[in-house]
Amino acid sequence: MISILFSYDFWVVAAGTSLLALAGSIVGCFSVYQGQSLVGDAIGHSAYPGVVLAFICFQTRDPLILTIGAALSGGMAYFLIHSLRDGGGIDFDSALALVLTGMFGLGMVLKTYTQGNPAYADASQAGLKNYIFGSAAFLMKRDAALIFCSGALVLSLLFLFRRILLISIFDRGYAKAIGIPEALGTAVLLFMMIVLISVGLKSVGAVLISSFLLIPCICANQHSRSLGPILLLSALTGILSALFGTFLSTAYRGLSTGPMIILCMGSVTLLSMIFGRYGLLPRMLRKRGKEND
Amino acid sequence: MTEVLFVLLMTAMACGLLGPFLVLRRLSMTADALSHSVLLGIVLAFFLVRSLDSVLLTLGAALFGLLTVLAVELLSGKGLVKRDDALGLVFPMFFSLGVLLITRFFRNVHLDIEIVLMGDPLFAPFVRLFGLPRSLVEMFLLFLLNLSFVILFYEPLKISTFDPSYAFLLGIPVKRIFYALMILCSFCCVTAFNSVGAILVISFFAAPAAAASLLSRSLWQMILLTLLLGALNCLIGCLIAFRWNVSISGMCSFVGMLSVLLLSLFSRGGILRGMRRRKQQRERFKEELLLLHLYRHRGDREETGFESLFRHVNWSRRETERYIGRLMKMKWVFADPCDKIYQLTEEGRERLLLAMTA
Repeated sequence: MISILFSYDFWVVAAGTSLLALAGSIVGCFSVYQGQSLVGDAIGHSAYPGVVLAFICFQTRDPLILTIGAALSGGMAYFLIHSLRDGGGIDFDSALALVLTGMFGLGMVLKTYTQGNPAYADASQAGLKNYIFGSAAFLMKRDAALIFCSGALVLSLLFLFRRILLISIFDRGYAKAIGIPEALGTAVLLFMMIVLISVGLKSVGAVLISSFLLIPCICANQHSRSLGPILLLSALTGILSALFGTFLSTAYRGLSTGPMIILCMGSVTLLSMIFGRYGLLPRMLRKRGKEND
Repeated sequence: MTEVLFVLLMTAMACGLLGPFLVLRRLSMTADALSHSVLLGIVLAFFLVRSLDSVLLTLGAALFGLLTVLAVELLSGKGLVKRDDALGLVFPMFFSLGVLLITRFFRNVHLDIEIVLMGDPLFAPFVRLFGLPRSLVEMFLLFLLNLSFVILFYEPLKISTFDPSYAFLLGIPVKRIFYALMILCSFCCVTAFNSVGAILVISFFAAPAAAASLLSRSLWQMILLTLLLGALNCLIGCLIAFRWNVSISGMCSFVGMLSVLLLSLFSRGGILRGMRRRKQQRERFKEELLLLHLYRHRGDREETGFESLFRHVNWSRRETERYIGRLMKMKWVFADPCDKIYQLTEEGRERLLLAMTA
């Protein structure tokens, strides 16, 4: 067991997943506060046809090209969702479900098209399936490098635009009053989300990737109510869960990495909901304390 | 092939009865979460029953779907998290657990995660019951169940969908109706998981109902339209999928999304109409503004002169001339050649008066 800690493969995978978790958990906090927690899910599913289309067009499984395809189709899904809601008179919830299933369906159609088509037989498409459920265990050094670069890009964007983001998320009226372009904040946040989701697609999969953004933030929210500590805590939750989850999935056969990490994050979050500062137990104690006074 | 189509049509009918309520109550994403976490229910029930065809499996898995909704309501009800966040927490956890159990223990059982999500209707006719495809029979029973639910509880369903607090005041058990809806919904997901896949079920719930909501003015109209559009989506999706030999359920859900997009572009109150209406309003407003300007400064050579008008209304020269041309065509304005100014005609004054008093 301990020997895993000295293996090169483990550290490549662990570095990839924990970097992804770090960037995801920090960006995720902002998207959760903007009320976009389920948008990530829709973008994740909708990124899949982009992957397959990129594969069809370029006949390569180069992670960078497939990731760009994923990002483009994720962005298009976001555009569709918003035009359905704003102009089309369909409420947000249905628009999300609609675009999610429609785009994912398109992905399935394209994938079965490549399977039946002899033109793609020699460029094996076996790897395309990984983008649905993810396969962190097969992360290469190249994938980890891609995650590192995009994580660094996203975090530096976040640092550059932190003022605009904060104001446009927490006080729209004020943002408008002092002339901060709210659309810019939304666009930057969206860009960061799409980059992370499409990069993480290969290791965590289309179905579960949005949880990397969402769950650490929920967990941190149970312990604090101010932004600094929340960001710190959620990054910690993300990284530790990623490391532990990767370790478990390497140690035991048949445990996929992505789901394992999410299970770790989720368990920590559930515990936090009970024992955290704003969780159920302290709340009950406070109530009882008041009654006794 | 026709049997596959019938299975899909039956699924669309069964889901189409619940779809309008899910869309109107904004529960589509909840249904999506439910369809994912049902996977864990199926796996756990499979542990006990050791068979994929048992009724117990369906019941157990459907109960699990209800458990998901209960967990979400509990978490958001305690004020720990927002409802959306609770959804985003609960279903990935259940789904992950389901995936892990499958990959760890059931490597060689026919319980493929991909099949659960995407399904393959092509396999549906192979499992038969009473000489018919098993999924068809199951879906028909489910259709009857949903139909009787909707008919029996039509009024309470309607009131609690559109105005929950009024329904509460009337003494309608709002919570119980909500959970009944969720149970039926989770039955749909479980029954469909083998034949059409969880993703397509959500598409059958959301797509026809959302499209119908754009076209209809009353609830029963919406339900009927949902059934019709659902059948249409199936038919078109199937035909295309057969023709090019691609994933049937994928094609159907893609067609569903396209139909809503097209409808929202072209329907009454749709995106295109809205754009045209806004353009017309803008143009009318500018015409009236120009009329007002010409009236206010009538006879003024600087303010209404051929060469200087555009500077005073502060538009570009081309735009000003375009609008003047339109007004002249309507005979509301004429060009006075000796003073080189534009002036209002009698009709123009009347038009302006109409605009001012309207």
